[in-house]
Amino acid sequence: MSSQSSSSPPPQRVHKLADYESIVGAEVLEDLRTFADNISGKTVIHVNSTRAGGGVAEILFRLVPLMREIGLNAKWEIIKGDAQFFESTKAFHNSLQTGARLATKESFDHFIRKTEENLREMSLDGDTMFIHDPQPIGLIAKRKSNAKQLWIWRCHIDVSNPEREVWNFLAKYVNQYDAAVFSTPSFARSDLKIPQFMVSPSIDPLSDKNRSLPETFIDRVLSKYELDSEKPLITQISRFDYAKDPIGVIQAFKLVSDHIDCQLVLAGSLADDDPEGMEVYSKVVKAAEGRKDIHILLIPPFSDLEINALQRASTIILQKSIKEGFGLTVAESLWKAKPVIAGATGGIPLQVKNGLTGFLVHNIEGAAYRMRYLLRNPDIAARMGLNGREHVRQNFLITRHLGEYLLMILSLENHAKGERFSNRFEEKEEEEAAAAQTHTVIPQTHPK
Amino acid sequence: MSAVTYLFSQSESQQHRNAPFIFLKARYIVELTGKKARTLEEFASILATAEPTTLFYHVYHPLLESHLVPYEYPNDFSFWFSDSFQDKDLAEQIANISLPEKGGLEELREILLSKINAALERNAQFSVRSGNEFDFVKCRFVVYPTGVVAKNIDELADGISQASELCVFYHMVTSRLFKKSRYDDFSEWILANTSYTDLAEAIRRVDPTTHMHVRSMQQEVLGIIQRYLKNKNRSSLGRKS
Repeated sequence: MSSQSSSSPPPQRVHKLADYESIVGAEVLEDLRTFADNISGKTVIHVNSTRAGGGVAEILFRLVPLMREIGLNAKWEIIKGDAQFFESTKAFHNSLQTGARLATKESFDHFIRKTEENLREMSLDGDTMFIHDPQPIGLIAKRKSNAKQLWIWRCHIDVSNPEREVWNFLAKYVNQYDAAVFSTPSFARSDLKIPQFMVSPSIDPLSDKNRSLPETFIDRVLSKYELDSEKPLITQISRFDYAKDPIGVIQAFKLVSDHIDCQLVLAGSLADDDPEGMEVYSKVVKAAEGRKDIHILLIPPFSDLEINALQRASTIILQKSIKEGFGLTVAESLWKAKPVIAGATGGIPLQVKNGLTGFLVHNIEGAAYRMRYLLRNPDIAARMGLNGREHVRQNFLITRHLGEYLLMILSLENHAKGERFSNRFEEKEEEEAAAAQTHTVIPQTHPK
Repeated sequence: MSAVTYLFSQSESQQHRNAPFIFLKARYIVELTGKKARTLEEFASILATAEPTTLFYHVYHPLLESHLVPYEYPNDFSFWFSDSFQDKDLAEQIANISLPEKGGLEELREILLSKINAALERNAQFSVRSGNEFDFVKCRFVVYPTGVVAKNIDELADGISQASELCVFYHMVTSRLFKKSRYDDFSEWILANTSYTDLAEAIRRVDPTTHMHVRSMQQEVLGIIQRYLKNKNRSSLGRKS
């Protein structure tokens, strides 16, 4: 099925699992193969709404080939939608994240119409279906009643305080799945009847966006965007989205630049499924008018090497989100050993450990103060950066992500089979009791 | 619903007297409960009925996680009591909790609730601000063999020396908690399959919660075995001469 997008990712080297060994260690890869051996040959289908822009597409672009390499028949499909559909789902998205009533009756009606069209055109016959975010959520109607399929709704956004009407509409779909997956514990819902797992998103350390780069390349990118390589650089990379508070970033920077000579880059692209992006971009440009030290860069999708270079050239990286699903740009920045100043929202506190890998802030003044602090204390900034890189290595790389999806499939399949795999632990107790009764003491080393 | 999935057959996992020690390990996946506490009363109420894996995950699993980013407190509960709930007294009490003496997580639940209920008398009204709630999770885990087995004490020492953190954590912490045993798997095997009672007793005195890293716990266990065997060899040689 083709995307509504005309843009496709440029070819990048497809990495093999073995390529990750020097970063994550041999044990991680051995374990992935062990898990995969137990579900080898099964078809896993991921469905989302775009191949271009945003963290979900980035992850699937990397994850699906790795799933294939370990023996799964992994596929990635995209739903179709027109402009009105994506305006509706953007209204859903904003309603879920802000609690504001933004969806209309027409939004719901159009969503249902387009979902029915997708249901007619898509053949979703995998063993495990990962349906990402609200846009394709209605595909659950495709579930075959007699098939042993696993349907998993993978939610990447914050639904902890949603607008009630939109959530109730979506929850009817969600409860038909076998499980839901959220990015942080705070997104979990007490009103769902299905198991909810936590799987953090991830970055690929070998991708163009995250691999190491020659200094000469970084210098060329700085020159291209007329940035001063001698001056401290503060950067926020994100979609032009109100939730990322780009105007707040500019206001915070202005508070800092009055005292310390530095420069700001706000760089991002426009995603296919985000019709609001251009409006936000225009407002950001206006807010930066007349400032030579503020650079607003509209970077096309898949400018991964340039984004990588900008992050690596930065002194401090911001992610001053007001609402955030997870904020993968934070993990990207920490991986480059940069201290991150970020809004205490969504999945950011899992990544930014306050005072250790960066600072969590709650307002413009907080962001400004922490920028001043790190600019004046480069040794502390460097130490935080190193902490952050190790934190990401252990917790937010794609190999961990793949492993958790496999563990979840194994665990759900185990439950679906209805087999009493466990409790060896319980049986141990029973056996000990029996042994005690007959006075035949057979000490057991392990649970049985 | 079972929290545990085994990637090997029951017969492979049978470990009897005169049977080799099979080194296992586990990986854990977080399952969300959707339960949040803003007050101590809510916290105690949720804790009272929480699944055992909730207690395990919040209190002991942090030992397995990265300590390159050091925390002031060793478990999720004490960190929240200090950082969000602002009750340092309670945080310190919860931080000092070891493995249950009699074995099993129900004993831990009782200990936790007794400390929290005592704190309730001085801190019944306080409520954390929105966004700082404690989110209770539970976990499922998948257990699988490492491919290493030990048929005698030397091989056990070799296996421990080369075991991963996941393996050591499983045998020293996870297994004993869920089989409701007072003792770790290594000492149980030694007791069942060797005459080294003193060695088993020495290993049983290792408290995982006194360690900041699984690696240091592993070194302590290994050191105990190595010293014991060295002394034994020495005394054996002494007798021969």
